[in-house]
Amino acid sequence: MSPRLQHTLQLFMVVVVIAGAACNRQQPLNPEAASAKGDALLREMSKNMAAVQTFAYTVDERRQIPGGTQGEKKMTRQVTVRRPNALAFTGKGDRGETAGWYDGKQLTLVSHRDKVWARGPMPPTLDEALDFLSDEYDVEMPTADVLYSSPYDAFMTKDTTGGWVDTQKVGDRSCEHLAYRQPVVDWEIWLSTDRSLPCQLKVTYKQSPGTPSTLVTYHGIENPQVTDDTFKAKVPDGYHRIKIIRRATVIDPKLDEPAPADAPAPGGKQIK
Amino acid sequence: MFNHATRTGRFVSRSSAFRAVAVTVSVLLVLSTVDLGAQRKSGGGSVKQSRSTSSNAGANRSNNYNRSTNTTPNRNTNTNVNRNNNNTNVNVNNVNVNRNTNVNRNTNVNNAGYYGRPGGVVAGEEGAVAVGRRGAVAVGEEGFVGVGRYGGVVSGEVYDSYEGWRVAAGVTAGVVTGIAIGTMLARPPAASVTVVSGGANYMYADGAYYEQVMYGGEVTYRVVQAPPGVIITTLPGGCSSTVVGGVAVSQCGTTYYQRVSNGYKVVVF
Repeated sequence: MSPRLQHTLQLFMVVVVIAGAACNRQQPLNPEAASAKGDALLREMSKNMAAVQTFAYTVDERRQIPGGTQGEKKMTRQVTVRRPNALAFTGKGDRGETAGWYDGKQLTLVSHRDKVWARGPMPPTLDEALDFLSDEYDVEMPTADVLYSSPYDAFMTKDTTGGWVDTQKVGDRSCEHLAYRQPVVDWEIWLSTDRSLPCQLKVTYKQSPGTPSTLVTYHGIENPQVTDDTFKAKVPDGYHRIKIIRRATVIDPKLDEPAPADAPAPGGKQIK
Repeated sequence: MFNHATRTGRFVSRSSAFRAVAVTVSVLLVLSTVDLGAQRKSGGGSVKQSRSTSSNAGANRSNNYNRSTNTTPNRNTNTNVNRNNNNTNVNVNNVNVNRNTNVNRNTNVNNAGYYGRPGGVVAGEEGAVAVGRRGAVAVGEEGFVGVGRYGGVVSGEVYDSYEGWRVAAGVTAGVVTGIAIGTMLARPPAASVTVVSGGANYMYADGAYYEQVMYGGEVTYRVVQAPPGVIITTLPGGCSSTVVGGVAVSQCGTTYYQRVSNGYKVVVF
């Protein structure tokens, strides 16, 4: 091959690459269009997830606190769900190895690191249970939103702004990238092509010290064979039962009033 | 029981000096909570959970009401009460230690009570649950809000570590000296040792006792009252000798220890 022909071929290849890159560049949408597209994609995912009655998935959770002393914490979780009232999970990560079961009546949690377990009452449906986990047991479950009967309603509020951003690769998957802002959190979600379980979810907690964030990477939805036994607690022999601690439930307008300088304790009694 | 009698308060007189000190300490305790957020567990939940947690935060702050008022009347005014059966006039009630803090710090205003009726309190083996639509929360002397055999209700702040608590509570600045009952730590103090009472294991460090509990889906260590019968090898600092019921004991804060052959045993009169 002559040097001239070789030079021409090289030039041609450069042109092809540049042209290809230009074609792949995604055109940004105006805010209204981005919002509409994101909303439609999110609704589609929500509808598909709500339709799946039994499913399982594995996620990698990375919790980051920029500048904090805790650094990054990782957890890999395997979750099995059977709507409307059963969930089982195992977790392994920086905080040890855990397992949990919800059977529509109670929650059982096991810490294999400490060889202890705890149990507490739960509401009868998964939607209520997910709220209950957070409100009463203070369990932080970053993947909870997609487990509700309507993930769309779990994610979205009237004051949510944002929408579709672009298409990105998460691992080897091509995923639609949506980003939203809310007063308390910013969150991004990467939706899979089948619009069921997302590729990835990132939540940034704007009001928490250090503005931590959690990145959840989903490894695809599975269709497991489950029985009632799947959701039956399995506590190894020799494990010690400990108390499970809940938040108190209080609605008392008086508590919003400023405290008098030397007021007696407000009404309550000790329960034993 | 001695402790119960103390808490129910046989007030003989209320010293204004005591009140002033108590109010001051209470205010300091309240102030000490203002910047505690950095030491507490931070966000990590789902989008929906975060909204819920955030809405609770305001309620938690307003419920600081109890931190400043629930401490003083019962524990700082019991002067000159003779509880010694041998009539030796030893004043054992004048403890003047503010340990009743953190009540109702982690409350949830959103939930009107899944397991209860308005104003009711449900107690059971799976956990006593204070439930109320209009403020029917049981407030205990030591900050407990209903405790069952295998359950309890949040009664204190949550910190990642004992060191984190020390900084946040102002121990290093001399504001607070003892960790309040109900306070929870993600891990026990580094210097803690395991002690046993009634077949249950506790962790002990620096005059405080911790029990393992499940909170937030994780094993956490909650400060509890000294379990009767526990034996420690060395008394914590700040103890004084006294006689109660004819028994010579060491009083360390609100805890009494009796000398035994292998150390000091927690006793309750």
